[in-house]
Amino acid sequence: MNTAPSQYPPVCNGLPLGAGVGLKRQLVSPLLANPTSVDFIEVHAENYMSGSRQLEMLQDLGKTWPVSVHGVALSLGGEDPLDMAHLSRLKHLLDTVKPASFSEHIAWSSHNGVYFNDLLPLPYNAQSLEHLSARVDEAQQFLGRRMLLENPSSYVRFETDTMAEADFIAALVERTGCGLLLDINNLHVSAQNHGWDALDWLARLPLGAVGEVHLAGHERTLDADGAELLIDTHSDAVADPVWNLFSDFLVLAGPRPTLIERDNNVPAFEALLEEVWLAQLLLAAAREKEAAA
Amino acid sequence: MIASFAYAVLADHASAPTAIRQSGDRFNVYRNTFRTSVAGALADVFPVVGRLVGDEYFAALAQAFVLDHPPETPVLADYGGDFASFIAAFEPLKTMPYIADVARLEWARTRAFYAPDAPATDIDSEIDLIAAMQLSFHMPEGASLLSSLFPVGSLWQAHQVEPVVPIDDWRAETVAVWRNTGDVQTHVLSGTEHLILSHLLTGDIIGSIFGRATGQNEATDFLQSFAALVSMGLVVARI
Repeated sequence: MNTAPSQYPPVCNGLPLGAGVGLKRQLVSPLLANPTSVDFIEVHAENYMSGSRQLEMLQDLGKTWPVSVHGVALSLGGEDPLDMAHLSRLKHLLDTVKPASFSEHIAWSSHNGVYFNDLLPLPYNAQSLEHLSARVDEAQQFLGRRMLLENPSSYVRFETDTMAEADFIAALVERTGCGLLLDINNLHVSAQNHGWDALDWLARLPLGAVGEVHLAGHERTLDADGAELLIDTHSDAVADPVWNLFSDFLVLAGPRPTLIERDNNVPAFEALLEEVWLAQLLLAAAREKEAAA
Repeated sequence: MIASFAYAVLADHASAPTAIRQSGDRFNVYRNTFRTSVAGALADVFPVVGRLVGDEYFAALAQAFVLDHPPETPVLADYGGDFASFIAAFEPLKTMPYIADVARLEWARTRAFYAPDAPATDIDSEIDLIAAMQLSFHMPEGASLLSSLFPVGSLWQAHQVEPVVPIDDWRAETVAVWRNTGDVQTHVLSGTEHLILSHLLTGDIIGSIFGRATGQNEATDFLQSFAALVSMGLVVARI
């Protein structure tokens, strides 16, 4: 704790104020054939940690686009000690690729040595804030860089919650100097599932700390009581309410590097590009509005 | 809190942790996501096993494995090495013992995929065949040899196309899996290729095996197999 926020570079990271896509193996060829169609690419850190070959491919891709490295397994909110082997792999990746941005999650993903391959929720209270902040500090110091942390989606809350999610995140930024990766789909999913007001959530957040935005798809289903439940699957196109909330965010905060995040059921390249274009259009409008102001 | 949450995600019939506030059994989303997302990662690594048993069966098999051997690494490329042994011991698949060997082959392919480049030794220009006979050879890093009582290489090959090509010669096979600089290679070794390869892998040069040839025809066969192993890149010269 007690890391002065000024120890790390300011929120403005190296990503352009445009739109990018999450890199999937099947997208590499069409992207290389249309390099100007996206403004940056994002990769999951853990996909580049088995041997050196993948890492070399990523370095090559970095010659064409700014790269955002997105970690999904640091388990910053977890109770196991921080995995130093994993942090070392991560540091090697970041020092080699020198990405424009590095982000992780407000979540836990490992316990007792088991990796859950999911971003699991934390209670929001003073104790969990203290615990998470200390680990974010430890990781930032080890990696020698400021990271962006992503707001989670969730389906349950905890008996021990004493803080609203937005206040918890704002306090985390205040304590650690971390930046934020605002996942607008996660915000929409959690707000719908828990009955929160998404605009009130945004109003409580230090929006200046947001260094990147994620837009993704979710699934609508019914829970066992027949109530609507949104599930954060990344397997569908970005939904209209998420586009609307993104537009609200742009009005409040101005343009930010924005990623179309599709991990499952990845569509044809052209279909993905339509979402990239829409994001680029909204970002261009936000840039013009900012320039005029 | 996290301990009871983790237990309830992992255990097969655990109830939701008491520390959560939920309605409508929403906690089940976490249980399902864990099982299906890790099983999905296995489906990417073992597509032919999936075709052999069918998608639904594979999902159930993979989920049983996930609960029995949950991942202990966040690098899922390194997860699934025990899946073949799990299949071999899986009672309902005892009547299809070749499936475990197909899983071994697919795991070997994923290891070769992540291995560093190992360019093949070019015996047409850089080194002629006579000179190559004086060199010692090794397999590229990440390469595997898989000896099976079943036609495991032919089975794998047959499931690369739609519809599946029937196997007309059901016999034991030794399969090599490796990568040079491009795609992963899968090759069923002939008897002579296997003999020559085993000899080379002892570190000996190829020249020393010709004394064992019983005649000119076998010596020619040895030489052709040696040239084949080198030109396909399964062995590369130690330089």
